[in-house]
Amino acid sequence: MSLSGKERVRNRKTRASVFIADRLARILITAGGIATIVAICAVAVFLVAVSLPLFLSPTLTPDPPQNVSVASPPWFVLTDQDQRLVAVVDQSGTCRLFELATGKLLSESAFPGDVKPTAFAVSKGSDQIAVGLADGKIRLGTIQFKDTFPPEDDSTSSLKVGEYRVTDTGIAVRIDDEQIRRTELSILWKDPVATHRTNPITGIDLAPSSGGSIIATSEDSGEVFVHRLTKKKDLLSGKEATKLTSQPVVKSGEHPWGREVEGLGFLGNGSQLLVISRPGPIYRFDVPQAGTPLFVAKEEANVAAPVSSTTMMLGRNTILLGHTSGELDGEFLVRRKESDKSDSEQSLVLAKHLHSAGGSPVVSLTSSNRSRLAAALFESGEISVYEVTTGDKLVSASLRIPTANASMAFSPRDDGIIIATPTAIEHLSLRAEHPEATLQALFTPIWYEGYQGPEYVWQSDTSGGAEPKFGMMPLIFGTIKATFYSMLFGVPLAILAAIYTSEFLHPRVKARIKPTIELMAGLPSVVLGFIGAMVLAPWVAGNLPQVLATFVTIPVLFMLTGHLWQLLPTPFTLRAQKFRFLIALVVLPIAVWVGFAIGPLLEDLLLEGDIMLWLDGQTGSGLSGWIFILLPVAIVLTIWLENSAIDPWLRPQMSAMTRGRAALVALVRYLASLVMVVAFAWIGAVLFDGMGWDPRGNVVGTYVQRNSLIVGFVMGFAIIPIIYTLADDALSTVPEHLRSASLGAGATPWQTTTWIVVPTAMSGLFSAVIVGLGRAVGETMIVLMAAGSTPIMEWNIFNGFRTLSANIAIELPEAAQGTTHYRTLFFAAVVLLAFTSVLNTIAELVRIRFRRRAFQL
Amino acid sequence: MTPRVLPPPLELPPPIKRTRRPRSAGGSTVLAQGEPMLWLTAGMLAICLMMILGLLFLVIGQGIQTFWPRPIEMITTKESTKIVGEVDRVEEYQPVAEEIKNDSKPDGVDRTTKSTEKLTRRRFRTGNYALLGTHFTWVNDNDVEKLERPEWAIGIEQFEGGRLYGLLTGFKIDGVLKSEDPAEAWKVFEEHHSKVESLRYQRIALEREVVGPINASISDARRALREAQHYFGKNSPQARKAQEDLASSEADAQTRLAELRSRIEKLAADAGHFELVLSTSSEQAYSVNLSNIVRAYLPNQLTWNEKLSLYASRWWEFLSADPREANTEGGVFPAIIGTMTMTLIMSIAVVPFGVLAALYLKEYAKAGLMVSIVRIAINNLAGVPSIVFGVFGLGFFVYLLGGSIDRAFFWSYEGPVFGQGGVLWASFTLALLTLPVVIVATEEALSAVPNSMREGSYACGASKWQTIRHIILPRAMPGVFTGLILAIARGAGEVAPLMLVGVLEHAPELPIDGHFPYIHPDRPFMHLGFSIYHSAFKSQNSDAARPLVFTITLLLIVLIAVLNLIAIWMRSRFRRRFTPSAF
Repeated sequence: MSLSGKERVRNRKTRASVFIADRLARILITAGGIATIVAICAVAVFLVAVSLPLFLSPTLTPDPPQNVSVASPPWFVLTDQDQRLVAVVDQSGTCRLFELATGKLLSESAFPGDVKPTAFAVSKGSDQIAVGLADGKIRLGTIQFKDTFPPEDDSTSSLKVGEYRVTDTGIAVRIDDEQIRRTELSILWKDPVATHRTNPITGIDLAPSSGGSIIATSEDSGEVFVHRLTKKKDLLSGKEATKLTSQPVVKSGEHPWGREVEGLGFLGNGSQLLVISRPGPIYRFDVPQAGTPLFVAKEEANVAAPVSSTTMMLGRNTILLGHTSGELDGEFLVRRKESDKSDSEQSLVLAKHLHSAGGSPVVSLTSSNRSRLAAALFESGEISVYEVTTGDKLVSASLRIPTANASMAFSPRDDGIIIATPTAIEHLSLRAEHPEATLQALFTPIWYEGYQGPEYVWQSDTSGGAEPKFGMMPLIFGTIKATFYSMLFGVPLAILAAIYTSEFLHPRVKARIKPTIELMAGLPSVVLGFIGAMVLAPWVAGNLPQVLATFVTIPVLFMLTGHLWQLLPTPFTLRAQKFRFLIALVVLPIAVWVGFAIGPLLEDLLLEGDIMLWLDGQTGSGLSGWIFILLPVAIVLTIWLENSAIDPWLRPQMSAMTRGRAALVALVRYLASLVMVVAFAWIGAVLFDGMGWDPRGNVVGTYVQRNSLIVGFVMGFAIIPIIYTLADDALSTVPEHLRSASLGAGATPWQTTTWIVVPTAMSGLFSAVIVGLGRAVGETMIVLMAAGSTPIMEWNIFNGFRTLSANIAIELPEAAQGTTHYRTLFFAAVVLLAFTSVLNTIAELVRIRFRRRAFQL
Repeated sequence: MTPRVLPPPLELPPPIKRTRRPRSAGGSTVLAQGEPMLWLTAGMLAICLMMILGLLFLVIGQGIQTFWPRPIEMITTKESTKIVGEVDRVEEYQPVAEEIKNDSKPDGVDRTTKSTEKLTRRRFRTGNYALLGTHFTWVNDNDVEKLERPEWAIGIEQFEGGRLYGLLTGFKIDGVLKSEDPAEAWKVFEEHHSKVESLRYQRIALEREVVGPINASISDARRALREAQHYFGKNSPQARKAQEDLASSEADAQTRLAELRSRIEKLAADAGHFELVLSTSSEQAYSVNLSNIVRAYLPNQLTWNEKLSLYASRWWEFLSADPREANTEGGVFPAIIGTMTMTLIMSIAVVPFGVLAALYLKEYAKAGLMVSIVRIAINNLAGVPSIVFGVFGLGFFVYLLGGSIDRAFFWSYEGPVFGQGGVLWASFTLALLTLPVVIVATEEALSAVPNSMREGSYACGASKWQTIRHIILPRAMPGVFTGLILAIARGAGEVAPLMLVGVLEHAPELPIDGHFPYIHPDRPFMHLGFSIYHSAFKSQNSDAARPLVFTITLLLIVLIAVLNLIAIWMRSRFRRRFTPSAF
């Protein structure tokens, strides 16, 4: 009964909307939360998915062969970009066009003139061909598939996208709603150019050269000639005339190879000519712009078996030699010694052993026009595809047609190989999208063209037919180097600072100082990079001895201040303790000043007055460098000696003294140990120097303005606050009662710190260091700006490097989507991600363990 | 009662004779106290503190003096060449022997003979790049015949062509020298410059406001044609009509552009009557059109007040104007707008997802191994290098997502719309990057809400969602906010991932403008951090751009410091409010 008289009915039932809202919220939050978490994890999955195609194994699948009839053995075969048409040039010079799918002959065009062609060469990477004739003349020409985009007509308007129609001269294919692409074979023969020879040409090679082309011919007698074709414009008629100058490579009858010429090959842009003799030796000639070719060297055969087939790789630097023994190798010129610049000091080396002996003879060789792929056809009918840079055999298949007199070629997009014999054509679909990037190519040394041996190289720039070099080790090395030097600088600084902050700093002061240092973590790395590269780097370059001296004077002076402090009467020091940090702030500039004062003195004394020249190795000996480098070792040695030999003897003595006296003794001991450190370092240096070791060229070396020292220092700004904060947190979590117990047992605060607090917090400190390490590994802008960005592998602290992250930032915007370069960069991101994840997981696990332990205590 | 038999007394070992160690006279505490090591740790802290303070002072000191007008000095060297300019650096250096013996070094510095005597040299910023081909000239003090500050030295910031320093000597009207009196010339400048300047702004406004829409209308017509051809076929009436529309709009554009061109030419002619004549370092007379002058000043005559107002006007230009001279002069307004837009979109994207994930982890997911793993994974992601997120952003957002959007919706556009880097993708990338920050902060805030409050709420009969909505979330809001600001502070300073997903050194259009739909998430943008990188490293004249880079750095640091301070303040406030509460 209520007072109002009305019965108030309380609704005891929860409204349905509450249930619905609750259920809905649960579903939404769960779904959203899981989706977000999954999305974050999808980063890793996506990166792996993009980089995975790098490691897919290539496939080579033969299509059914088509029977065709070509009058004589084919010299040359060509296919269009969609691999629907095949053009076959036979030994009579007749060019026949077939449709690949049916083998239907579409058109046939005869070789012009009535002189029989006797030799045939295609210029690698272009559509230029040269034909040697039976009368000693040379006929140049081009054969290529040309694309045109004509307006639609009745025959093509009914085509759907992707469909094609075969015409007499080629095909028409609809590529989208608006455009039709017509692919037609275009053959262009120029008039034959007369040489002064009239014997039939049996071998020929052609290379583009400045202002025309350069051609080498050989005759049945074994004589080899070099012809230079230059175009000249006639001033009167305005007509272009080709001028041909011919030179024999050696005097008639004096050619050492006799009549055994297997092939001719120009190197590079035609500056050198190789005459490959059938027994094996290769004769190398210098072909100057004007004048007679010069015999340079006879390159002894690297493989015993006779040569049966040759081809040049793209860029004309590597020659592939196939042998009758089935061996297949790639050779290129390397300089014997780094310093030699002359050609005569070069020699052809067998750098790639693609196929070992024991198989059937190599019948035909071909190389791709756009990559480093090569294919070899063996007499047995086996066809193998190789990646010449890595030397890997990618895949092989068996032909169904007989291999006799076969000629083969890669399709323009490297997605197929076409083989023509007098009676049949066979097509194989090749899928090798990223053959140049294998785990081996990424992580092991590879012998690149022109290098003296296998090396780790990153050079993605492939202009001028250079090999893409995707050796990731220089980048990983750079990352490790950056991390190492910055940790070397940052870790002691941050940990020691954290110890002081946590154990000795007044809480009120700490409340001010800690956020200030944390502010450093918020500094954008681009700012740090800018300061490092534009302010610090030039300044350090001008004051290097001073800066190096400062690294020594600062710790020495701080410890000296500590010793002097002990000399003061205890009542005073106890009262003045709270000003210790302030005094330290004053000592710091003094230490820097001392460093700057003695820097030049040391430079004069030890480094012959100029550190830059000394580092460059021009003056002085390695002695002084060793002294500096061995300092840490000497310090460790001295401390060990003190702890094991001096202190046990000194300690009882000291406890009998008054405090003041003992402090004096400690000071003397400190000064003595400084002398000892220098002495040890000097002894070590003399020893090492006496052994003829020089630190220059190893951990120190030529000074480059943007270097690891700068990066180490600037990266310190980025990692110190992280390590400092986490370390301070870890130290502060050590339970207070442990400290109290230790102090109560009579330990000094310093003893408590070193024997109780730090060991307890050790795992926390460790995880702080690991987190800092993770940050240093992935840092991008600082290294991008302050490290000079050259991917070299050198421990020299005064040289630059390029890290994985900087490399991504530099190259990814320019890498075309889906290319090997693009995917390799994604793989670099995966490596970074994996590395930092592992580090962070370790840190996290250690931290969890530490926390559990700290609470148990 | 049986008498209790006492066990035989134990044979106690003889008491160990403790020899008291001699009482220490106090000497042993010297080693135990470890003062030297203590001082070493204090010193390391001092270094850390000095590093950050030194850096801040450097940036602030350099950054604020960029715009301060410096006197223009004129040096007559012993070879009686004149050099006019601002002295921007004075340094001591080791002089080298007069004749360079050892030419092996590229800088020609002889290192074989080294005298101990030091000399001073000063670096002149001479401006007049078009005339001199260099921005700086070093002058050795030994070579100085006379150093003066001429009264009529003038500094001119040109609209195109960089800075000019010289002596004002007269003025020209329509190419005819009218006067050789600097005072008169200055009067003419003061009288006419504002008018000429407004004409220039009109011209720029015309170019920007009219040309853009004309181009837009043509590309719209082209797109309509393409769509008509696609939907109705090539020869359909619709396609024909679209073709005609395109032709007419092209014709229309031609006439409008021609008209515009004549108007612009007229404006340019109106503005171009006056020229100032000055004599420069190379002693050539150089005349500069008034319409090309952004700002001219006579630094050697300025009073303090005038200096201040010049300083302020340069700051204002810096904050509000477009960059000039390939980002080495002028303002950073587009970069500020770009940074802000990106940060805004990032915040909008990151908060809901971060809060959802945190709520799920904290309130809904059953605590166990799975949740621990997820938590470790999230913590891990906070430590993943930012460039990795940039790579993901490029591959996933730009190429995959953007490319698909383009193919589905924008196939009729000429270039890529979302299939290129833009402010939306950059924001999403950074949102992903900062998501762990928000999740961790939110989780922390949720944990800080005492369980008793939850239990109290349940006890009153509230459902879980009601508890979250009315009890937990309001209490956790400051924490969420802290997380957001930390995310913003981290996001605003990140540059590396942006380089992959849409930041440009010079974006022609702002991501936010007055044209529909006002926010253009597909556009590439400019960013303060990237401006630092680009001006300092990629511009042709990075040394002359250095002062400006310092100012941009200052601006960025101030921005981030303010955000961080807000976060720290919020955190302490929020901790004070909830942790010691009496539940």
